[in-house]
Amino acid sequence: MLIPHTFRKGIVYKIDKIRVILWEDIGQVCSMNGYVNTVNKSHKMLKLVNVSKVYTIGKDVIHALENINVDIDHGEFISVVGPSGSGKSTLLHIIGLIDIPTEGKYSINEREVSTFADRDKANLRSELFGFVFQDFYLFPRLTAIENVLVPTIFSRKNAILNNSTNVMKMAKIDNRIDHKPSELSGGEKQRVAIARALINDPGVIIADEPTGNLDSKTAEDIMKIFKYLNQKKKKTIIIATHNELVSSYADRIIKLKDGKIVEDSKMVNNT
Amino acid sequence: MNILKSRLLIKNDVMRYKGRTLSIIIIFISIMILGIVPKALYSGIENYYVNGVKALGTNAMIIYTGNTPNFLDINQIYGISFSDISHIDKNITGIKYLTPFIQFASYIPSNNLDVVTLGVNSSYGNIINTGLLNGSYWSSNYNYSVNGTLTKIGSNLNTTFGKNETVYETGIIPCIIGYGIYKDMNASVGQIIYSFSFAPPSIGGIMEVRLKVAGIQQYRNIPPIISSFGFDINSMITIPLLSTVTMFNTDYHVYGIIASSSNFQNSTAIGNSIVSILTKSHPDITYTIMTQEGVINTIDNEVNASVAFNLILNALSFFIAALIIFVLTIIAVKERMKEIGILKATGATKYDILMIFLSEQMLITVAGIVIGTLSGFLLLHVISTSSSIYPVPYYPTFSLSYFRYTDIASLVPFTIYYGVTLFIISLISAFYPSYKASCQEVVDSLHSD
Ligand SMILES: Nc1ncnc2c1ncn2[C@@H]1O[C@H](COP(=O)(O)OP(=O)(O)O)[C@@H](O)[C@H]1O
Ligand SMILES: [Mg+2]
Repeated sequence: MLIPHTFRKGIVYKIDKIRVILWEDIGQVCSMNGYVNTVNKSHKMLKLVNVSKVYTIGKDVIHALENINVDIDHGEFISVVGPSGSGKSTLLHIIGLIDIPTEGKYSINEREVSTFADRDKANLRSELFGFVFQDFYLFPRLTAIENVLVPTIFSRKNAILNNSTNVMKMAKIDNRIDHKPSELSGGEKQRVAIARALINDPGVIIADEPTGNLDSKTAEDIMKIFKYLNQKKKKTIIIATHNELVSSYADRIIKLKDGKIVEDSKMVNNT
Repeated sequence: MNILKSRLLIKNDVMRYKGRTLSIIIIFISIMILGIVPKALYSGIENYYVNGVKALGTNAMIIYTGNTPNFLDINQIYGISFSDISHIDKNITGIKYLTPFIQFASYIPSNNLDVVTLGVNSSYGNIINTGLLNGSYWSSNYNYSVNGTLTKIGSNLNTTFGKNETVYETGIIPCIIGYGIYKDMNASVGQIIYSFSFAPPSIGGIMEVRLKVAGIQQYRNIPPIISSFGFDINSMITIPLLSTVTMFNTDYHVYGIIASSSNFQNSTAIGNSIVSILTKSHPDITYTIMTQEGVINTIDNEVNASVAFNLILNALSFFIAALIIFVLTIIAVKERMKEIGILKATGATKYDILMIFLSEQMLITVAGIVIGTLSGFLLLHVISTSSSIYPVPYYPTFSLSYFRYTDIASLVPFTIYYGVTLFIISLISAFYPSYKASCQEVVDSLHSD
């Protein structure tokens, strides 16, 4: 019913390693929220060990990230803060598998990302992570609902989760279904982007300065949506921001400076 | 999901990049037309000259007098067809038919030639169609009479040639008419038919030829319009050799003869026996024999050369298409780098991205090839229909009329092969830029602009 049996089997066969993750562990976490408790919690979902990202431009060496050590658990609401250029985006990109670290280990459910094939990573981007960008990144020619549906094109589990009106309701944009991005305000565009991030029912939502282009009132509305998703839908939320108000919604704050973690509220609490 | 996918693709990509889509489609249309139309022309030429001749199943030959002219320059050759057919003329045996040409150039050294023309039906675009030859345009609706009355012909003469024309008559000559004429005239065996021509310049005026139908012949295996050396054999009137000589040996030279032997083996012998007959009356003339095989070879060579040229043209247009598609794809991919980033960030694999570009290319390609094929064949239809107003040339020069003889069915395999090649070339040239784009790291695609 979900996917033709043979097709599904084919996927399983081809990407054995990842399918195990998706259907046994993360698959349950991210797609069926009721089953969160069944997941083995003895290990951290996302784990970065000594992760660095270095850009070399000519003779200049830029350390965008230096020896980052972070664990992220199911259901956390994390805010990554720091001044511009401190490495927030880079960190989120690496976590969301849209960039690769130059050094260090990043593992998802104890499986190391560097061993993943392109298809494995794409599957995780599709099903584990939902991305929200500061610049929305919507397709201008497509209506709101079509934009929301874009990720379903590449998803293997969309048959059950393809509930676009539902996610648009969650993002409070269900009244603008047939509008094109050019007919929407900044806040509305970001809601469409959030709905798009939710369409495949990911376990982790990564938002890179999602309120950066919005006024404070709209920013607050958007943050309420994230809060709701975290509390009611058990989504793990990771938001990069340099806005105090935004970070106040988070349960855990990771502060970056010059590519290094200078403060992690969780660590502080633990020690 | 595929429906959504293609909708999104079309709406977002194909529609958005109308310029690219349109230019590629136009390129494909032009290339298809450039492939199909010349191919059709060669097919028409081949059919008209070579296959038509081959269809005779005989080895015809032309026997020339004097210096061998370019046999294709039939402007200077006008014909009377006559039949050996052995019960009429016992001198030559083993011949299916003979067609001597009469050369008038010695009298009027220009193209405005006075001509005796028998046996060529102008309605098929044969030699009678040129210049003054209209004067002997006998085979149209009113220039002959089955019943032997001259009244209608006379009035026609007044309007056509002026009032004081003298009409000469040649006496009744037996003839065999081709099946085409038989059908046109509804003339049965035993009837007298008339034909008019200019009389020899030394006599002046109009010459009337009265012919008695001795038989009707049909060359069954010949496609209706296909002819040998530009003649529609089924529309010829054949008269005995001796009568021909009687009619014309005062002022006219036999310039050449078309003969056709019933098989290849005896063609040389027949050629020689015709020459020996001709030598008796015209001892000081040298004769040259050109066989049909030679004709076929000549035209085959011409067609082959053209086909080779066309292959180069095809290869060149494929190459240009590949280049343009390559460049356009690079541009398209560059413009859409950010979108590639978004798609990958939301779960697209390299393969998905590659497939998006390739399937889009495939869509445009198929559309272009299909539209191109349709327009090619439509154009062919238009040309071949309108080309019926042009006469068929007697030498291989460009003429739209060859399109009439195109074998459309034979174009189908070519078109498939050609279209498939173009399809593959199109995909290959779109592949590399698309592949490169699909391999970029997601964040790099996202940040490009
Ligand atoms: N593609 C790149 N090439 C070179 N340097 C980069 C690139 N992307 C980011 N950087 C550098 O890495 C550092 C961290 O950038 P970023 O993660 O975007 O910071 P933030 O999001 O906190 O503003 C900055 O100094 C930035 O200039
Ligand atoms: Mg940033």
